[in-house]
Amino acid sequence: MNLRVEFYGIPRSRAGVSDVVLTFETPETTFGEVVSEIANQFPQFAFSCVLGDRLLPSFSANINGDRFVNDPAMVVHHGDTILLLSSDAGG
Amino acid sequence: MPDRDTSTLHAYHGTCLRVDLTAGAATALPLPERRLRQFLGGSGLGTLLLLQENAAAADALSPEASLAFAFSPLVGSPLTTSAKFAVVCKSPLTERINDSLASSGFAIAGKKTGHDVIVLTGKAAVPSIVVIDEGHVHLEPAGDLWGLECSATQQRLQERYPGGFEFAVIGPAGENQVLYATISHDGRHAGRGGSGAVLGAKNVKAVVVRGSREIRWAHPEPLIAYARQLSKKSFGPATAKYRELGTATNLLVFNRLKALPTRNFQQGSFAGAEAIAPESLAETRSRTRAYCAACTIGCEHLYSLDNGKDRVRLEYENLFALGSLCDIRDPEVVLLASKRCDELGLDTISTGGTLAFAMECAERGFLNAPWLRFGNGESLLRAIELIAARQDLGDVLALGSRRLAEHIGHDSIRWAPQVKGLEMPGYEPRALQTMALGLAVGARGADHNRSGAYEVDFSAFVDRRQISEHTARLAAQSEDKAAIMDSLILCKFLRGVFEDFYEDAAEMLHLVSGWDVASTELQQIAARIVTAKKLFNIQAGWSPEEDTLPARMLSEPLPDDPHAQLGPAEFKDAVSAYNLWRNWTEEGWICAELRAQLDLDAFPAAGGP
Repeated sequence: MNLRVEFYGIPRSRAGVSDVVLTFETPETTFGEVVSEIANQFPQFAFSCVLGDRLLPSFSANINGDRFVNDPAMVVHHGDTILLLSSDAGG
Repeated sequence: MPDRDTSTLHAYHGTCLRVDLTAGAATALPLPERRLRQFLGGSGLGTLLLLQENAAAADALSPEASLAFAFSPLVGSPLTTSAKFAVVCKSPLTERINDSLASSGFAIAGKKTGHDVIVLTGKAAVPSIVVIDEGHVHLEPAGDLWGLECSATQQRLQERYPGGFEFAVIGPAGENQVLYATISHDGRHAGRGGSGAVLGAKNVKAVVVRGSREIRWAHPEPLIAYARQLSKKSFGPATAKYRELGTATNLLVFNRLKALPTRNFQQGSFAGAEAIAPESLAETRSRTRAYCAACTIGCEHLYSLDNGKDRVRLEYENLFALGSLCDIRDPEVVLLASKRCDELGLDTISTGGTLAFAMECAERGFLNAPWLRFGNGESLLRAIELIAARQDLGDVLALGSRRLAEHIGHDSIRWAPQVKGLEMPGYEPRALQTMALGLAVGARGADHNRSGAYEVDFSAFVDRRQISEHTARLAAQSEDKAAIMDSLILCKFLRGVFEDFYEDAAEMLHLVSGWDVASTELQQIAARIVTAKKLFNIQAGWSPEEDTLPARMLSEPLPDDPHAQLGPAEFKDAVSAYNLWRNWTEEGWICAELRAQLDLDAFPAAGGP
């Protein structure tokens, strides 16, 4: 399965890219596994934004522009797009 | 609690300086410790003073109107981001309570004059500078400054008053009483609601402060240790966004979520977002950072203009209001428009909101201004100058979108982007529905600083496109937290560093004042401050119909996101639930028992059941 990850704000500056496509051998995976995979690919992102298979509280994730997620066990599917962003929206 | 001698107070001076501009006289009035503890400072204390002045009854631009510069118990302490002050007055734009905050040296110098609040009332006979040098107050003529823009005024004052003075000034927009004119200090603005017009109506071009009265802290050594820890936390991930990128980095996120108000809230996404986003600007323009006094975050990011010489402080709200909302895709125009608003002393959100509304009305043929069109940068820049000068069409644009809608007719109030007359910030309510409630019930109108309910929408707690059973509670809790932050005063960009905000706030207050304040007392203080603001509004003529959103947002889904829709009945239910959560009546009135419980019974609540 393929899914797309888009980076915004600090996650983008740490990853150094605006987006990436991830490929998994299984038909579905979990949000925690996605976070771990991104952390493997982007060490600076991992250092600043990740603790284990979770994002630090200062960062958030959204699936397909619809719902925000923070549960590592949340199942994600082929074709999903995950947005990674800074939690604070104020300004 | 019994009042004690103010000379024994910590963190406060225990006095309010009341300056009567008509008489040219000043009086220092005692502030009882009981009231300081109940309202803290800043926004809360300023609201109390306005209630005591009976300011709700006065026309906002009349000599009888009062305007308070309110300092706070943390100002002057080593706590990061604490150098802030509140300007509290009746808004000429909304005719409701208005409290706007700004940062830096004016807060420190103002408190060193030996007062916790400076209230201005009356009207100077000629354009004047109010000079407050420690305990000495006098007016000086400002005829030579009248007409100058904000930074030029500041520069002239620095030359005239060397040696530790700080300045709050108005630009031409304030002089001309544009209803959303700002008060500027060192390039930052107490921006919303038109406090600059109130000063302008009083013939006050600038307030100049200096003092040497140091504050005593209750527990100085633990305070320093706490402040060190707080500063250390302020370098962590919770503030990285503000330090490294600034608030403008919201733009692409909001655009992706279709929550970026575009073309006067007709869309939630903007085709020009990439072009004006800070990520793009940083590739082609030099960028520098700036700090407020006593701040370790440094959230201000200044971008160069094409001339390579001038720099512009850029925030998300400028980008949204002068960019997507007016469909401006040229980053140079957005930067120039921001700079002109800063120099003229105009609130960027109300400027952009009023102009976007006018553009839609012109497009529909309801406003005879063929030159004013979405996407036309030249017309945006021209209109900004006309507004500040109140020339031609600018004279009615200077009144804000609600009054402009009354002028235009054609039921255009349905799409005027305002609540209580205050233009809406950059949060599309249909896409962020906890925030939608926060915008509707806010005492000063559509507001993203007194309600941070968008944080809930950006979390897994709720479906951001659904009003839920939790919406009322979450919106109220967000307001309560903001009420404490705006009264202590601390920068909201610190909020992410606190694991338990109320515990930390209580600890800070204890260290500076010596009061043993529990979290629960702080929560009651928050409820008191929010209710006091509502009380002011009731005295000023508030009615339940004001707590809503523009009709278009309650009747049409967002065109580019059909799932983003608000229903009028469910929204009204949410407003009622919010009122009940606050222990107000279902409609939002305040009963006598609650006023007594919050020690607000000295202030009558006319109207209601």
